[in-house]
Amino acid sequence: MTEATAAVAHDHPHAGIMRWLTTTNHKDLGILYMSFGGIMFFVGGLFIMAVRAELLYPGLQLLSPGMYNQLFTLHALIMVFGAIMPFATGLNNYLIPLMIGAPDMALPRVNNWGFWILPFAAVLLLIPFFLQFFGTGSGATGLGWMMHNTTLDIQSGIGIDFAIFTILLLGVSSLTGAINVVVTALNMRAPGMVLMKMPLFVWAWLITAFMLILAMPVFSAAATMLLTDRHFGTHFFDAANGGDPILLQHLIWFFGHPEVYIVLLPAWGLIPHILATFSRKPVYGYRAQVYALCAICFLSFIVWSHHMLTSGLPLAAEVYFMYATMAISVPTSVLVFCWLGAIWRGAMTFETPMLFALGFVAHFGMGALTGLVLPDVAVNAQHHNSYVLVAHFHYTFFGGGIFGMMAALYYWLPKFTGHMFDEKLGRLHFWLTVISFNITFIPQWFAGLDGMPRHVADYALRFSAMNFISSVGAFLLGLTQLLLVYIVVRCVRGGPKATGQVWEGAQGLEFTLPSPPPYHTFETPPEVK
Amino acid sequence: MELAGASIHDDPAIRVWRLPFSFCSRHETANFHIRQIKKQLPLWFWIAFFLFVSEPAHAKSIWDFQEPVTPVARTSLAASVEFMRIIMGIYIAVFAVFAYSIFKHRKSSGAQPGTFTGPGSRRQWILAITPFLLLIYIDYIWMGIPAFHAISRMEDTRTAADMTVKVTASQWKWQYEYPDEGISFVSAMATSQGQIHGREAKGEHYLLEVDNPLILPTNKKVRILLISTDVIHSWWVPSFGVKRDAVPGYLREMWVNIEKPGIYRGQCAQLCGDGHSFMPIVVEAVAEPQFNEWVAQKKAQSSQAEAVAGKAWSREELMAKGDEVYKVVCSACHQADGKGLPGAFPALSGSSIVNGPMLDKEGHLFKDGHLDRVMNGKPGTAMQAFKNSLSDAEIAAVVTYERNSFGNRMGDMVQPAQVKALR
Amino acid sequence: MSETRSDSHYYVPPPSHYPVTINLGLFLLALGVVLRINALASGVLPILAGIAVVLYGAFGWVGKIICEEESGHYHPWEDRSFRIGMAYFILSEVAFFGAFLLALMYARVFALPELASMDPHFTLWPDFKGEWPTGGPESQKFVPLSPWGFPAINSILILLSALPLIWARKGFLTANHGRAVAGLALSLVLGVAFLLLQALEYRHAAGLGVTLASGVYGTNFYILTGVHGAHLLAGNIMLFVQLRTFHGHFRAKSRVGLDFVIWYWNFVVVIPGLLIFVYFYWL
Ligand code: HEA
Ligand code: HEA
Ligand code: HEC
Ligand code: CUA
Ligand SMILES: [Cu+2]
Repeated sequence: MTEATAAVAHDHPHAGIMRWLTTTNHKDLGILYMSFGGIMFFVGGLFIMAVRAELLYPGLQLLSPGMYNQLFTLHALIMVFGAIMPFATGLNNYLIPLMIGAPDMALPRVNNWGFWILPFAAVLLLIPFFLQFFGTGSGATGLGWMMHNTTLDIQSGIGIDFAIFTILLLGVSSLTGAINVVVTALNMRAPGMVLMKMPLFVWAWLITAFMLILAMPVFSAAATMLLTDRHFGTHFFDAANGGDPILLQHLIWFFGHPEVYIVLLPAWGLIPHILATFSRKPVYGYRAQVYALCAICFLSFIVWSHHMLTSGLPLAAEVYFMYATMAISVPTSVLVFCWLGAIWRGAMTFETPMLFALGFVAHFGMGALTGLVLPDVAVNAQHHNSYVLVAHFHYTFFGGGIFGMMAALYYWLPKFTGHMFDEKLGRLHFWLTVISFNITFIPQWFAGLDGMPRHVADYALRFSAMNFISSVGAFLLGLTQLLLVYIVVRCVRGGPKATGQVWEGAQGLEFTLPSPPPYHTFETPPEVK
Repeated sequence: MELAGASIHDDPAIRVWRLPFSFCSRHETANFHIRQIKKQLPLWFWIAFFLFVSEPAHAKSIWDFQEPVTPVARTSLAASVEFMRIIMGIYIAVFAVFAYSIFKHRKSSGAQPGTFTGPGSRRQWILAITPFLLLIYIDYIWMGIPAFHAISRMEDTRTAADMTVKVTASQWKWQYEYPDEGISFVSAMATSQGQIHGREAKGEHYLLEVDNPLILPTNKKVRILLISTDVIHSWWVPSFGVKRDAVPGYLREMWVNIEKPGIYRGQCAQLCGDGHSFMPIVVEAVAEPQFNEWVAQKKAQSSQAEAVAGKAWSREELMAKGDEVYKVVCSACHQADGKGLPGAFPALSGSSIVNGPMLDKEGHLFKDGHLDRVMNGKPGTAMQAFKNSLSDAEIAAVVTYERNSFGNRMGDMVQPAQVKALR
Repeated sequence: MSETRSDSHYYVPPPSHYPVTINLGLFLLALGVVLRINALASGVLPILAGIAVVLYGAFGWVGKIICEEESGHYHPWEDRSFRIGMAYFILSEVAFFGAFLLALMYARVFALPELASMDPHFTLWPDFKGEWPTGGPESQKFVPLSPWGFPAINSILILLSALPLIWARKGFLTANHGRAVAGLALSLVLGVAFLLLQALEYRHAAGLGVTLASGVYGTNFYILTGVHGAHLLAGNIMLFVQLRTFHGHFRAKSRVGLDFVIWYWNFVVVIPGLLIFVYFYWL
């Protein structure tokens, strides 16, 4: 690739808060998205700390059951829709134009629209939570993040209405963000960058966006039906009037299953970049990874009912969904072997981003492989809604999603801020996270195998030991994350100057620019050979 | 209700988290004390971790479910253990290669980076393809075919079923019905609020005990039908290997064939509102003769109850019975003191419905009357139609009780015979 | 912003407060609706404020776009962005409608037959026959709508309404101002006529006892046609705006707005309309 010409900034943004409210600049918006995601990670984490404190011992000590339900539901909604997804969107905003040599995202104003709906959505979700302390309403939604108990949704209080409208607002946000990515990737590439030369991160985001565009409207439609059933007298989900409560589950999981890949695909896209950089090798199996991502995208739309295997589907459906779900393991293992190929015979060094990338591989592998057990219908009868499941999806969400996001954060932080972070503290953060993460979630596997259901505020004595360990681990994990704040804040404030290249083996257009890149980049597209 | 003969040692639920290395005996673990957990933390954790990342000979017992006692549960346990082994194997194999690479191909040991971007030679292609073939073989042949048979058997609820039980779920209790014998009763959690809130010591079956357990005969194929009156619940007893949702309006089916007498405990497994943690299931499996005896006894009881219902009850009888019913059925929502939970469940103390007329002037139910609310519930809310699950006497008693407790002083009462006429 | 007109220059709009303003409006609207349907507080004020703010933001934004187009900021490169964006937006609309149509299919193919075929000894409704059209075991009685009355007329109307758009596009390409305006106007008239007829149909249906209380039948009828009608309303507004633009300033160079209207009308308005006719009323 040729040297890129970075144009000098020639128009000046507003000053102060107005700059951020009105900005159409992809870097500003990327930073906004990422900061929002980071803050929400702590909010969601704080909620679950209360949950783990309640679960420290059997018995009800701190929370009423209703409050418990609200806390884990808000935890999940905030972590998924408030932390991981916005953070990944922030990365795409900042990086995609740099990676493909575009002046900005294709639809900058729409981009601003998509971001600034998020804070409003978060406020809307949390209003009922605070209202209950003033004696109004019965609190925020406490029905699980996917609201899978239809009839319970219908009879619950105002929290669920707030949640429904939050979902509708999030729908607008996801849709605008996704359309922006698709248009940018399809229309804004620098001359010479054919699709099959596009960096994997951009590919992964293109596919993610495609999934969002197809899946998110179904979620909105489901939320709309729930709303009309609750308040306008329709009967989508009422058996006595020919409806079916299971219909909502179908619609919601039709979105919910692709959603878990929406969360993970950006991470899958950036891991190869990081592995390649620190192995000082070109990306391994580029084509294979692109095809595998496409295959996962396709498969994710035809397996949703594996979340409903105990709801009494017909036999044929159970068998179909079992086999279809197992098929996902094939393209996913293509990715795993490509990561292996990426480091094989490289010249590896182990800076913090590399550690997190390898940690991602190790933990995601555990989560995904346990996922392989779940679709077996007979075994699923034990695992469904038990803590086995909680462990499975934290190994994928945290061990996959969050580890991936942290790898990306450390990898590109010097690019964003122009300063290097404290490498020693970074490594310390990594090792503490790995250890406390496993202390938190391994015991949940055993509690689950032993028969502990999820969503319970209180549990039988046989599960005490495992819950105690898990809670202690969770507190450690939480405290460890404070270290991350310290590292990031220090790096933003100052530190050794980062070069444009940042990492010795870094490749890609974004590393041809100075760190931090100028406010406007690639006003004239660079030539890619 | 513990049947004679079923000793505590047969109870699988007692096997509280037993590790292969028994440094903590069965009975100690049963009243697990927090101090012990603290003391054992490092050891517990490291053993668990060790067992997880390697697979020593004892590993089987750590993957174990609760003791399986039905054919379905044994199949799924076997499948699960086998699957766990396979994925452990895959994980170790793949991670070993990763680890090898991490240790060998580092810059500090002078490795020169390769420049390849995909499999090059024929040998490398074969190496790259093999794992996928293996994975497909594992997915669809090794595990896929037995899984298919297991599912077909699990879903075959009707062939050669010996008896049928209907389970009706509602917030937060189970109603069990033996249609052939004409028996029906409600089963709710028996653990006291004191234990939950730490005012009393926790019993050994904390949260896993009920007032009326489901009694089933051993070695019979029992077809279980599930339905719900309000929200979706899920009936799960780990030892039976079955979990199935109870959906309002739609029948769901499953079956069990318990091979060993004993007491088996489980819980509702679908988030169903505030009482979800407190919706246990207890099944007592007894040999057939004992079961028949129990059926006969239960039938005698209910015909007696019918006779009693016909008579005129005194206020004291109604109040005593009402107190009993209220504690079991209603207090989960309206609370023991009748104050409800603001925002979720209305207070009965001082309620205008409770302190209003029971019936209209012609002696019929009317909308939002006290008897109507209890018998027909309020559709779309957690307040269900109790005429489906309570007897005439129970309804009469609880309504009388509510009108004369929690500071309500209506002074009137209603007879079971009146309720019967209103159905 | 630089005024370079080279094709290698992409127009990045300057900071704008319209998006965040619209979001504020959406927030107020959502808040108001929630308060209102829960009778928590009178939500009317936030609803009205929300609508006003959204309208203000939307008009401002669209005005800005028109202004930018007038001053020649948009070239084929930007044009292509808008087209791809619109295409994927329509794809998302397909998914949205798909969810409602599949809900109908689910009720007809799975839910009702299952309700009718459960074990007669244990089901709550042993006498229920799940033949469509039905509202479910406990629904109110009603007379199903005949496909050959309002529905047929309405479907023909909406199919016809797509034709003048072809004409308008031709007129546009050949720089025939009158033709373009006439085509758009004709479509608009047909679209509005459809909405009016739809209102009449609702009256007619209520007369036959088809209300929301008539179970899944009434539910699917009102929600499907309602969602469809709402999109038609949006389509009509788009037509109207387009018409206004043409009326004032007619420039054959940029026809992206017109194309959007045509795409939207065809994909979101016509195709679901047909599917509703075939699958809800007819079969
Ligand atoms: C991206 C997704 C994501 C992430 C990152 C996490 C992170 C964590 N999750 Fe969560 N979780 C979900 C998604 C996620 N979770 C989902 C989808 C559910 C299902 C909900 C449902 O059933 O509906 C769930 C449910 C869930 C449960 C089950 C609740 C139940 O079923 O009863 C538990 C229980 O332990 C849990 C624990 C944790 C813990 C300990 C973390 C930790 O990793 C969090 C660590 C982070 C912090 C702690 C924040 C940082 C630190 C501070 C704020 C400083 C203060 C620190 C202290 C006071 C110690 N989660
Ligand atoms: C990012 C998130 C994520 C990811 C990636 C996955 C991945 C998978 N999940 Fe998971 N899943 C969740 C998040 C995720 N899941 C969540 C949140 C829930 C619960 C929702 C709720 O109920 O609240 C859930 C629930 C869930 C269920 C429902 C269980 C139930 O409710 O009863 C099932 C059932 O089949 C399942 C299966 C799978 C499968 C087959 C995969 C496959 O994609 C896995 C395929 C991958 C492989 C098989 C690995 C291949 C790797 C190798 C071959 C080598 C590995 C070795 C090393 C790296 C060393 N998942
Ligand atoms: C699962 C929870 C639950 C249980 C169990 C329950 N109720 Fe209720 N009850 C409710 C709810 C919720 C309402 C409020 C309904 C409404 O919205 O008006 C209610 C309302 C009532 C009212 C009307 C009070 C008022 O002033 O509005 C009476 C009387 C009542 N219940 C009696 C009973 C009796 C008697 C029982 C036991 C046999 C019982 N309830 C069990 C949830 C429950
Ligand atoms: Cu019933 Cu959970
Ligand atoms: Cu899934």
